[in-house]
This record gives sequence, C-alpha cells and structure tokens, in this order.
Amino acid sequence: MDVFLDLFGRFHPLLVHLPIGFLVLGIMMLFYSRNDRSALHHLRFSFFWGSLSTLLALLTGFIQYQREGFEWENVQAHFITGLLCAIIAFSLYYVLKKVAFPWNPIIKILSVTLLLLLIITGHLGGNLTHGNGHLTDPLPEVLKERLGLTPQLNKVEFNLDDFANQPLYSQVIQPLFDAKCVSCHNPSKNKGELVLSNYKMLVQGGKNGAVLAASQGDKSTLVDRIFLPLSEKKHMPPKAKIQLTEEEKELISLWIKSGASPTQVISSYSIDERLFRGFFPENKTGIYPDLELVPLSQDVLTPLLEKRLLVTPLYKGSPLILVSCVNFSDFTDDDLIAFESIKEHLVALDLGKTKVTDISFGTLATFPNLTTLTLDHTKITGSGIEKLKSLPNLKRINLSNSSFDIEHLSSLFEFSQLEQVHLYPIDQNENIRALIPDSLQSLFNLGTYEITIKERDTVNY
Amino acid sequence: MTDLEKLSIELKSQSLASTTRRHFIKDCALGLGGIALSSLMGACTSSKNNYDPLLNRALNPLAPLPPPHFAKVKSVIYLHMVGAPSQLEMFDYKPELAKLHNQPCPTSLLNGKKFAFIRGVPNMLGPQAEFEQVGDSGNWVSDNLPHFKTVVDEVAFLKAVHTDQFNHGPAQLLMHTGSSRFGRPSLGSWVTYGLGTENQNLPGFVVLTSGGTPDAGKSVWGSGFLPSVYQGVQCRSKGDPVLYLKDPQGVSRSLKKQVLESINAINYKDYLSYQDPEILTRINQYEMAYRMQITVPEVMNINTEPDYIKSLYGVEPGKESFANNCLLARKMVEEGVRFVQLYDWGWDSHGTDHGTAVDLGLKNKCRQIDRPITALLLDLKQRGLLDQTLIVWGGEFGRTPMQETREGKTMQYKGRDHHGEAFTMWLAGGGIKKGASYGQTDEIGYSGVEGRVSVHDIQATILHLLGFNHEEFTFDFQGRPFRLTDVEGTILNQILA
Repeated sequence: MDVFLDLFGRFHPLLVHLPIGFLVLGIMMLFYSRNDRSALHHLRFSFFWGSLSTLLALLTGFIQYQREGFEWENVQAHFITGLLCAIIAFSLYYVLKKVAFPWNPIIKILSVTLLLLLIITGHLGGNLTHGNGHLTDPLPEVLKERLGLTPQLNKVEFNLDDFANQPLYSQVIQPLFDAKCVSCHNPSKNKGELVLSNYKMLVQGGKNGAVLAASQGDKSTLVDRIFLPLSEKKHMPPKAKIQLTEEEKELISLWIKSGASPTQVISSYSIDERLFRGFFPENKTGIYPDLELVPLSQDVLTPLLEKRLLVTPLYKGSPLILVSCVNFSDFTDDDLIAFESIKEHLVALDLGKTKVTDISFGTLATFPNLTTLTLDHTKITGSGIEKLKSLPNLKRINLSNSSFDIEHLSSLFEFSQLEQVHLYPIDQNENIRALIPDSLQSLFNLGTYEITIKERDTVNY
Repeated sequence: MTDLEKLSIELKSQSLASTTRRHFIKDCALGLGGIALSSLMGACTSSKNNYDPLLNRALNPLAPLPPPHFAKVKSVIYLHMVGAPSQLEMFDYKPELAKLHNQPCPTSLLNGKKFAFIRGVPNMLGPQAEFEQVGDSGNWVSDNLPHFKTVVDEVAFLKAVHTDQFNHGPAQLLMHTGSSRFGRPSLGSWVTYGLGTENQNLPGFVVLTSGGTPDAGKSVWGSGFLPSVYQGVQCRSKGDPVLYLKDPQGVSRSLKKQVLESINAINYKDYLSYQDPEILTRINQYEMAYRMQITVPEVMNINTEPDYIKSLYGVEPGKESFANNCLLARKMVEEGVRFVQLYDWGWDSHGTDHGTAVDLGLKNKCRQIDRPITALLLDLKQRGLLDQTLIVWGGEFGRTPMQETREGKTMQYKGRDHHGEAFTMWLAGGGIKKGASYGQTDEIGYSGVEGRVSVHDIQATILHLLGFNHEEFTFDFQGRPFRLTDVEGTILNQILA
C-alpha cells in the first residue's frame, strides 16, 4: 500500500498539467464563444474534466506533501491556492450546468479568478520543484538589484551592535547552513533525507538517523563529516561545492558539542573572538575614508587619462580614486588643476618623481579627502607644508628622497590624523629624533637603516 | 628602375588584375550597407573614447585595472629558493630531533611513504644549526641567518606547509601555477592579467634568476592558457637585461624610431579601413617595446644606486647574484612593476658533496640570502613601500628529518632528502600580521600537527591581499572556467593583520 501511495504521490508533477490544460482551454472557449448557446455543451465537458483533474492533482499533491518530507510552511500557499482552484472549478461547472446562456457576470468573474489562481498555483508549485529563484535568477543583475532581489549568497554577515546577545543558532549556525548546506538539504531536494533548513528538521536527522546527537559530543555525524578531509567521499559539503571555512566548522562543532541549543545566546558560550571575525562586514576601504560618493563618470576621467595619468578606483565600483603620475614624469604644479574635477573623490595621490614644487601645497590643501600623499624624489622642501594641516584625512606623507628641509619638520607635528611620514634618507650626523616630540616618535620613519657586519658574513664553509 | 620600384609596380598591377567587376558590385552593395550601419552604430558609442590607448584595456592588455575588491598590496616580490631549503636548519627548531641524532628512523614513519632518494632505513639527522628565539615575537631563527634575526618581527611564518609533490619540477609547478602538470598560468601571469601594471614603460611581470633556471623550466613563469603577453619577462643582471631588446648592429635609435613610425602609420591606415582593435594593440606593442628599450636598461642598472644602498644589500655589480636581484626587485616595485619573481638556485641539500651538505654548503647559501633579504625588507620599509608590497619566501617543498641514504648507503656528507609533508614559508609586507607564526610540526618536524597549510591556501591568500576573491577570479578555457586554486584554497586569516 505504501509503495502504491508513494508512486501515486509522485504523479503529482505530471497530473497538475491536466487541470491547467482543461481549465485554461475551457476559459478560452468561454471568452471565444461568449453567448453562443451551442458551446455550452463543450464548456461543461471541459470544466467537468478540469474540475475532476484538479481534485486528482490536489489529492496526489497532498500525498506527496505527507510522504516526501515537505514542510507545511513551504507548501501551504501552493496547497491553499490549489484547493481554491478546485473549489472555483467545481463552482464554475455547477453554474454552467444551471444556466441557459454562458455569458453571465458570475461566470465571467469566476473564470477570470480561476485563471489568475491557476497561474499563481502553478508558479508556487514551480518554486517548490525548481527553487525559489527559478524565474528571477536569469534576470540581469541590474534589474535584480532594482527589484531588491540580489541575495547575499554564501556570505553571512552581521553588525557589531548587540550580536553577543543574539542566539548563536539563529544568528550564525542556521545562516551558515542556509548559505552552504541548504541548496542540497532542503525539503524539495533532501539529499540523504536530511533537511537543514530549520531547527525541527535538523534535529530529526537523515536516513541514517540523527546527525546532531548533541549529548554524545564527538559522536555527531554532522561534525564528523564536515571535518573529514576534502578527499574523503563522505566529506561535506561535497568537494565541488563551496566549502565551510575552518572557523565556520569550529563554530558548528562548538554549537553541537554544547548541546545544540536553539536559544542560547552567543555571549554565554566561551568562543574565541577570532572565529567570528569573518562574519563582520569587511572593512572595505582600509585606511581611506568610507565616503558615500557617487562614482565619477567616464567623461570626468577621460581628460585625466588622456594626460597619461593613472586614475583608478580603489576597487571595482568604489567612488574613491587613486591617482599616480608614474607614466607622466613631466607633471608640474600647474597640472594639479586637472584634479579639480575629482577633488572630492581623490584619496591617494602619488606625485613621486615628478616636477612638483612647494607651490603645489596650496592646491593640495583643497583636496578634502586626501589620505596618502607620495612626494618621493621631488624638489619639495616642505616650505608651506603646514597648509595641509587642515586636511582631515591626511594619514601618510612620503617624502623619501625629496629635498625636504628639516627646518619644516615641526610643521608636521601639528597634523592631527598623521600616521606615517617617510623622510629617508636622513643625515646621520643630525640628531633628528631629538627634534621630534616623544608622543610622535612612532609616526616618523627616518629609515637609513644599517646592517652591521657579522662574523658569519665572512666565513666560507 | 630599382628593384623596389619594380616590385611596387608589380604589386599594384597584380592587385588591379585581381579586382574584378564582381568586387566592384560587392563593394557597392556592402559599402552602402556599411555606411547605413555605421551611422546607426555611431549613435550608440561614445565619441569620447579616444583617450590614450596606453590606459585602455581593449588596446593595451597590460593597462592597469582596479582590483575587484579592496586590495591591501599592489605589488608582489616572490623569493623562491629553488631546490627546497631545509626548514630544519633555518626556522623549524626541533630539539627532540637532536636527541635522536644518528638513531635509526622508526619504520612507522617510512611504511607506505615514498622518498626521492632514501632507500632502506635511514638514521635521524639532528638540526645542523644553533637556534634562538628572537625579536618581540620570539620566533625561532637559526644562526645561519644572523641578519634576518633583526627583522624577524616583520614577517609571518607558516610552519606546516605541505605539498603532494616530492620532485622539484612538479612541486615548483604546483607552487607557481596551482597544478603539478604543465599548461596552467603562473601566479604572476594571473595577477598581471587581473590587474595589469602601472608603469607602461616596463613589463608587468619580471623574473630574475640567480644560479640557474628552476627545474620546471620557464613554465613556472609561463602564461599557460592566458594570452602570452602575461607571461613573465626574464630580465638578466648580466649582459642585455632583456634579450632581443637592443637595436641590431648598424641600426641607430633614430632610424629605429623612423621605421617604427612608418610601420605604425601603415598599420593605422589598415585600422582606419578595417576598424580592427587588434591592429591598435599591435601598434601599442611596438611602441611599448620602443619605450622599454630606454627604461629597462635604466632600471636594471644598479651602478647608479648610492654606495649606502649597494653595501646594504651587499651587491656585486656585473655579476649575477641574489643580492643584485633583491636590489633590482626593489627598484622594479618602486617603478610600479606589478609582480617580481626571484629564483635562487642551489638549495637542494642532499649531502652528495660539500656544496649540498646541510652543515657546509647550505650555510653558504644562507649567507648569500641573509643580508639581501634583510636589506630588501628594510629598504622597502624606509621608502614607504613595505605597506603596499607583499613579500613571499619559500621553496617548493621541505627536507626530511632523516639523513639521506642514497641507494641505502650512508653518505659522507650530511644531507636531507625531499620532503613534502611539512616545511616552512614566510610572508611579509602589506596586510600581513607582523611577527605571527601559524602551524606546528611534530617533535621531529616530520609532519604538521596543527595549522597545516596547503599550497593553494597560500595562493588564495596572496590573491586575497591583491584584492581578488580566488573563487571568483577565473578564466574560461576549454569549456570551463579555470582558477589558480582549482577547487581548493582557504584564505589564511591567521596571518593577516
């Protein structure tokens, strides 16, 4: 009997196409023939078989839901709309039996509703078999973004605020399963009869029994298999799929070994902070300010590129701009005017080996977000460098191999954000370290390192 | 009439003879269609796209591109010790092994294992160097590297790297191309393909060798299935820096310029009639070669460096040495070269002779790299380049804790066989956690017991620091996307700052 029921249930994906065909044909005939009485007979025929096959589809669908490990929350919308389809199809058939002319308002309303319901039911069914995104996946990325559909796949991220008071399971473990396991272990694909999409199914385990076995600690099948070497056949996720990171494995194992509680909050576990590092949104701009600017258009950049200036975004899509004059060594103070159009976006400027002089500080001081300034191998002496003091983001100045004059060194002491200054080479006879206040010593790299001769340097073995 | 004129008349008459009425009619029909189409298409493309082809990727395959994600470093210096340096005499301190010196190796370590040369039951070989914990990090360094001890806090060690290859060629290929077989692009090729290079007067991927070419040959810097412009350009510190870059005898630079200008003018005419961007690429290549003729010898000349720098590195101008190459690597990175690959030959310490003994020849090899590497780290640091450069040091595998017994016989010199189960590598520079040490080997340094790291993990980490997601960075070839790390590789967050 069981075998028969299973088999019967599995006919659901086939049988559902019968009501779709019969009923849609019936509705089409209805609108085609309108008030043609002679069509009534055929209409009844169509809706009779349509309603009957809807019932059949409903039955097989219900059997499949009962026996194949689907979950009510996933199928309920499909089931209810299917049930409504059956009810309306029967009502339509009933009304058609009663009336003498088919073209009346009740029939019109019922048939249009039925058509819509059929479409919705069919779509919901399709989502169950082919996955939630099977219609939206092929859309172009731009459109998806507009529709708010781009899911953060395979990446679990959370904010710093209050994460410690969230349950470990809902905040970390389940999102991990969702990102890296659920594509196979879900109600519709349940590989190994294991479903990892919610806590209830997770506890239930797969065809070889429970996978958590929390009380036994190390004996958890799930933990065993994620820790198997990649070359083992039983390793999960399968070799070709995206793998769990070491930290993620450790977190899952820790959660299971501590009892696999669905509610215990993160702070009550003693977890090494290192394990969580990957989950926080990455610092995407490093030392540069994270500015919300509109990326510059190609029209703005073209004149700069034509001058052989290297103008690149910090990374693809970033509004922040790094500029280097590596291919434009004849660059002079006058050329700085070219950056007027990108001054908000400009965060790193490399003027190394160019012909700029101290006059440039005036213009440089108008680039509000400038973070790193490279002036190596230039004629800069540092006269007027105090103008840059007002730049709120200036963190690094490279003056190595420039004509920097030590008398301007003290101007740099007043810069508030400065983290690194390179002044190599420095005349060893002048004690420059003594000029720098103690609190700022670590800012200044004077270089001019020496490697003393060691005994080993001269021994030939 | 000269021969040339005769030839040109013949060409003209031949091309006229081969043009028939059919061509005329075809040209008329296609020409009209073409005019219509170009006016239609013209509206679609921006007319402002004629900026310098140097920085336009469609015309110049080495034009710089932004990294896909935030990058911690913009260039890489990779120091490869060809032949596999002995971790047990440099970084992996094993006092237990010293106690077991000259005792027969337990058979449990030998059963089912394959070695390149060891046959029979070898004896254990204790560390042939004195070790010391140095720096604030307290990492172990042997007395073979006295200068390196002073910069040990700049680097992050990987103590339990493993590889599945135990012969030089395949292991080098695996280390540099992600596969032990031929045909994959090298790390430097992937990086220049993905990021291009900043200085358009220099190659983007430079290879410098000292002592000899790696066993795997030039494939370790080959471009595999990537376009061949991304292969490494070998620069020599002796003789011409780049082969075939010099003008032929009797051809002056101005004549060369005229020739190139004429060829480019003809090519440009062709471009105007066919609109094939490949022609512009070719024009660009000629111009780049011309520019390189000036810049490469300039950068490759270490004599212009101040004496202070020369003595810092301990260079020997005019010779081919690892010290010279380290200084060149810094010059290249300073000039905006993306990837500099150094190979130093002579680390295969089997103990077959004086030069390959771990207590003799290896010490000399260590001396040859100790000062230059220390100088490289310090020099990059004082120029503010260390934060934006990644330095990688390692070999293709490690060496056994047992003394090599070639053909089962005890050998006169102390040597160690190839060993892929555990060896040491280090990284330094931008994005690297200074003074870190990740991974641990067992008491005798035979295999990793904690923090084992694969070759693909290191490659994934290098790509990560350059702003790539190694799983997304692919190239379609033979019907499927390929990546450097194949289907493996985990980013080593443990050594990242």
